[in-house]
Amino acid sequence: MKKKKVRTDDYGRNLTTEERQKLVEEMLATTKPEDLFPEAYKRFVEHMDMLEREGLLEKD
Amino acid sequence: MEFTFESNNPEGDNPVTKVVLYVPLFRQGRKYYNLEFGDYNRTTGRTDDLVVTDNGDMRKVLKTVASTLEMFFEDFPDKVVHIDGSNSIRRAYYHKLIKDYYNFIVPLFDVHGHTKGKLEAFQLGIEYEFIVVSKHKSLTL
Repeated sequence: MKKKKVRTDDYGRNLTTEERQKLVEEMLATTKPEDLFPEAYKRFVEHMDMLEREGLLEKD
Repeated sequence: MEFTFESNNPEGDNPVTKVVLYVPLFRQGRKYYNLEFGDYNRTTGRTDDLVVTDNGDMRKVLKTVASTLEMFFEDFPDKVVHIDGSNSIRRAYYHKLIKDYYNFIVPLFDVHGHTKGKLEAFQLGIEYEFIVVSKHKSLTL
């Protein structure tokens, strides 16, 4: 079956680089870093918890 | 710490803004960082690390993402960075990239993989649950 490509403007493809950059900067300025990639951050926390439980982290 | 860059297809269009983040987390009184990246999604006003951009430049994009590690460690030479894929296919691809660039990476970074309850120096051919990278050996092994 031929792969169907769906193009939307979700990613701001019709904007200029500068316009997209401005939107990205606004997003970064108004969003907590842990909320930008929530699933990635969740896995990070889980993995760090795992390392802590396993005694693999140095204590300061 | 954050970085942005643009991906284009071979015709030089379909521009997508890529966002690379180093997100901190405190554990045992120390800061650890997660390397995260994906496409800016204008509709949600968020970033998306599951989307397939389909610009045919994945290797170039990942090399650009990897190049931010050097800049990160210039500012935070004693920190540890956690790296994981957003799914098993991407995780396997990152492992393949480390394998491909192993001789370049090893002199620059300490790369450890987590498997079966332990961290070990990255070995080719082993599928790790996740990877941690540092400039110096900062983890108890």
